[in-house]
Amino acid sequence: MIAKEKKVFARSPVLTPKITHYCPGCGHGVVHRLVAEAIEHYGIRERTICVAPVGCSVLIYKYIDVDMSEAAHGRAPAVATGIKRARPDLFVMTYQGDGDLAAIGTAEIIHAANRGENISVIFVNNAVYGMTGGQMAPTTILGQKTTTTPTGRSENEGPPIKVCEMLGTMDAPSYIARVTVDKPAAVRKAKQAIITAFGRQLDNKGFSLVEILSPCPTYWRLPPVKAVKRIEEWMVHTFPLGVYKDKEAANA
Amino acid sequence: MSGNDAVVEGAIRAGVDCYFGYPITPQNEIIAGMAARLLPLGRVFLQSESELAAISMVHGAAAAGKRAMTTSSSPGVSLMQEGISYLAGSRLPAVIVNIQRGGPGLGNIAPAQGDYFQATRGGGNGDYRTIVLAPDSAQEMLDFTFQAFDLADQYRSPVIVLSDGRLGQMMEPVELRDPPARKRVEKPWALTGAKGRDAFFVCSLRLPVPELAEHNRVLDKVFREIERREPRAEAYRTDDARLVFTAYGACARLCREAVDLLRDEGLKAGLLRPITLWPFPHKKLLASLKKAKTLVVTELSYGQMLEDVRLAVEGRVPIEFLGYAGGEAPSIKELVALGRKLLKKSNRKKASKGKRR
Amino acid sequence: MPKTKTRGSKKKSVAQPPSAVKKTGKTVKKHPAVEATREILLAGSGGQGLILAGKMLAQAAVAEGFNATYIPSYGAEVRGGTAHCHIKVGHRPIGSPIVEDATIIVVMNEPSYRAFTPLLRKGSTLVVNSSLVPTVGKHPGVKVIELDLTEIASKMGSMRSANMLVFGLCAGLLGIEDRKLLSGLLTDTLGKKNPALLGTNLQILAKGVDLGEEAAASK
Ligand SMILES: Cc1ncc(C[n+]2csc(CCOP(=O)(O)OP(=O)(O)O)c2C)c(N)n1
Ligand code: SF4
Ligand SMILES: [Mg+2]
Repeated sequence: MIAKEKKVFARSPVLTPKITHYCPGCGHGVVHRLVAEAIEHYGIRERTICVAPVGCSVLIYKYIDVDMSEAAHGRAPAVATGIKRARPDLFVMTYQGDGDLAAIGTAEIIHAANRGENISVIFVNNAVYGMTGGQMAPTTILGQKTTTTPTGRSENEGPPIKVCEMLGTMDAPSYIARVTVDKPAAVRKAKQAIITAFGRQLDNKGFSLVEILSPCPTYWRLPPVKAVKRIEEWMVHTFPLGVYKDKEAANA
Repeated sequence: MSGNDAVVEGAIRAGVDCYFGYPITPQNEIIAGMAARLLPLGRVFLQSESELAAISMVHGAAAAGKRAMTTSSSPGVSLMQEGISYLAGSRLPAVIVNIQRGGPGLGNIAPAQGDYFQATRGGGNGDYRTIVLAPDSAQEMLDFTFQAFDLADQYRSPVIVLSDGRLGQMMEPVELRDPPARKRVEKPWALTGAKGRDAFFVCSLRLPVPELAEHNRVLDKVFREIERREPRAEAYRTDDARLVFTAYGACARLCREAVDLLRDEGLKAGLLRPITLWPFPHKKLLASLKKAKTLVVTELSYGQMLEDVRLAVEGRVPIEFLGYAGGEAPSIKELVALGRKLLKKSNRKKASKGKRR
Repeated sequence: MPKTKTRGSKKKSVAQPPSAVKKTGKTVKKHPAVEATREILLAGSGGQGLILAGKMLAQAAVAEGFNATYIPSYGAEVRGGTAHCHIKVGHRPIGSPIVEDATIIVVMNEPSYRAFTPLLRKGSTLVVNSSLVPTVGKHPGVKVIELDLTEIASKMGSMRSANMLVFGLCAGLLGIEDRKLLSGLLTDTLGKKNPALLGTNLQILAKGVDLGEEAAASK
């Protein structure tokens, strides 16, 4: 897809013109854009089904202009499985937060991955429950204060769950990677990872997941600029970036 | 103090040992409040990975003989139905607070009363009931949470406090007090390690038919006893009322204010407020209808409690129904206007009858 | 994009045109004690702190011996858009915490002005934050007080404390004039959180009460 005139930036037509409800500096907006651009990249808007999570991005159907289904909190991979098995010709993705995917939906994501279900998962890890007002998430970092860990997360709750590492041990998944969106270069990498993940489904290679470390200034209780900095200072130590599973590279 | 904060206060006063919960609006103040209060006391607070897990954590703590509770809102309470059925089957005491919101499904976070059937009919599988207490003020959020623990222990049964987003979020003055308590019962059945006694198995499983049949008979006996002893209702200005409102929770408060306003106009209105939704206060409802020409039922659903009211009234008085959903609720003005209309109509009838004679 | 979403609608088994409510409402004389229940609505954008101001107002009313209820907008509603809260103050039991006939409405921005002015009635007081609500329409029978609350607070040292100005103003309008009580409440609520700003906040609160009393006295 090479345009004659080289446009440096254009709003993806897969995005609706609506202004998002996200807080200033929230990572969801950026990730939405990358997802839309990856859909545009493959020209698959008309055959994409996205399964929305329960979390701040429950309103994603307003912003990404593709067919969408709701799922109960955490159940998106199961709903996506149903859609994909019913219509293997469609491109099926889920978009999930950390509470949705790694707490209440742990069973669904593990089993979808383990089946090598041919779906793509966008996993937005902001280390907190945004929608419900800043409680501990399964990915909350040790020491991090939340409304349900008033003195900071400790041994009492156990250390944060590392989803990519965990799913990376499975045989079936095709592609599993962790990226972030804290700097322009990182955003470019994130987009590339999403494109790779979507490509695996389109090539019938099976399950792919991209975890995106994403700021939640509101419940990290930081101004947006500081929140973005926090990702490098603080989050990547617990959640190192990288590719955790790449079957194609291994096969090559 | 908000209703949600009052739940925390009531639970602490009742001596809750263990709290397990999962965030969901509009009850997040409870889980945050429990974390803030229980951890410094050295009691158990744990955020679970889901409501499914929370209710089973409660199951575990209850089996160990502790006072255990969880709180949630409608979609989360749906997930708890499995665990509540197991609690009932295993005869384990536990307290579950539901700060209802709009449904079905994800619905919205506005106040609603759509979980009446789920709560009063035993929402999980199998033949069981749970006591359901319906507070209508922040004070009662405290009192009923407190009393729910006593009821649960006494009958060895899960007890549900059925509230809603409006009562949970609303603040009003609350007296920080211990409401009337019952005698704390021993729990000789608790799992403590089989030291010097035969080992126990806390369970709902009873494979041989006669065993489960007998177990169900025992449960049924308990439910009948609860039905005999525990129905509670508030009769407000019903003695001479020609129009009686029946509503619970947030709706009951609205009706009470409407009754006061109608009485200011010299119109004879009253309110019968079920406090226990199961057991439903049939007799108290009938007793309030001695002079009534009309019964107005209003709830934030399209007619769930209405069914119990119909069963109780058995056609003795005509019933008008006002149902709301999705977060809408009647305004006081609407209730007053309706009451006025109905009362004037029945007055007119009386007057014209008199003339004819 | 097809979306299967339907809005909840009200179903009533009793037919009742909205006009009927009004008509009958007029003919009936209101009980004086009923008029004493006052209904206050504070509305603005998320960060303006009105939820706190409203809560403190309700607390002050209770400390003054009134019955009071307070309910904020909550949850996802709070992100973006408007944040608002309802306060009711009176001597009788309060059934609904929701404002139906406003005694006082304070609007801190344009969207709130548009959203909540329909609750105004004859005899209501409308307080408008004039810098963020540029055009105020006609409200017959309503006492309209236009003040640049943001600017006043900002000049006194803390723009973000405009909510304490609102708190004081409403207290003044309601005749909750025990200044010791009000400043004690403020100290308890914010003293620890932001000790550096406490002095300024107290001054802003006092200014608010002055403005409120002034407004209550004016016609
Ligand atoms: C069964 C059920 N339990 C709880 C909730 C409440 N709930 C809504 S979103 C959410 C957590 C969202 O956190 P996360 O997935 O991390 O998404 P974020 O908002 O941080 O993007 C919860 C607990 C629900 N909707 N359903
Ligand atoms: S609460 Fe956090 S995750 Fe939710 S919109 Fe705001 S910044 Fe984003
Ligand atoms: Mg999250």
